Amino acid sequence: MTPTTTNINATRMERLRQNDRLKTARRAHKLLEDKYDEMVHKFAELIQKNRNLRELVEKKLNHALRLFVAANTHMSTAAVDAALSARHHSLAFSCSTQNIMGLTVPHIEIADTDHPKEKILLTTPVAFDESIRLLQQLTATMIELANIEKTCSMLADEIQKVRRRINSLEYNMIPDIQAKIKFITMKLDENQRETQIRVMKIKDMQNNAE
Amino acid sequence: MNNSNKAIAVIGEQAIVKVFRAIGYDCYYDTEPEAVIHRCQTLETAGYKIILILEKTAAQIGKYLDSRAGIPYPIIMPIPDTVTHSHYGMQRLNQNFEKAMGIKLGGNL
Repeated sequence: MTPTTTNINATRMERLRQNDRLKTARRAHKLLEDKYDEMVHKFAELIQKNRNLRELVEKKLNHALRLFVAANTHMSTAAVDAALSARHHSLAFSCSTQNIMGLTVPHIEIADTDHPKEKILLTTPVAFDESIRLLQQLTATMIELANIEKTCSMLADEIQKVRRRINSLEYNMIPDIQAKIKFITMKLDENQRETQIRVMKIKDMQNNAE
Repeated sequence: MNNSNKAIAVIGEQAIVKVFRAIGYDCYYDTEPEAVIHRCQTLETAGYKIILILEKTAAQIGKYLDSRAGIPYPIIMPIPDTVTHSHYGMQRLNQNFEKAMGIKLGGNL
């Protein structure tokens, strides 16, 4: 007797209950597998985009920051502050959430991608202007990267959870229920055979007595 | 929910992140892990949607970043450093891939 079958009431009622549980578990397993496939499909699409965007952002941002640090060494703190304030530009975007297979992920829409006309200050080094120009070009891409990276991260977590649930159903719950059903069926068959033999013996005894 | 670019903050060394002021991001000059975590918590309460952290600092607060992974906002994203280019952002991307697909990424996708 396996540990899963030690505390089972071997009755037809219990077998019906276990059959229902098996049906539900199989349906859940199929639904979760479909969800897993769709999520992996979505993830594969996004992770490729994520990698490309990250490579682009890392390359350009690193270059822009290096230019800024280099330019910074030739300027006073007050001059840098004044130059930065003069170039202040904001990009409008809206933040909301969207649903991917029951998972709430961020959704950012950039309202305008037009870059403003640059104000060229004669007092700032070329490297300084160039770094800010690069950053302005990169703003929309950085926001898009943030959105995709977070979505990928959340999808990865959810995929891991769903895979665990599928494995738990496939390798633990479903075999467990099947073992219980098998045990109950065998027990009921055994009881039936016992009853049949008992009846036959009684009939035999009655025949002998006659 | 409409936001302007004001919803983005950058945390890191002053000499590097100051430039983000030019594109309208709010800059905070924290570098110690505890101070950065505290700043992130404050910014989250203040309603910031995207928080950019220099890779060098982000690598030190990995556990905190993992704890914020389950919620859509704020998006905390590591950005490259000029001095120590640790590829922490790319490492996290590869970790996500491994987590989802169950295999470690060797080369390119």
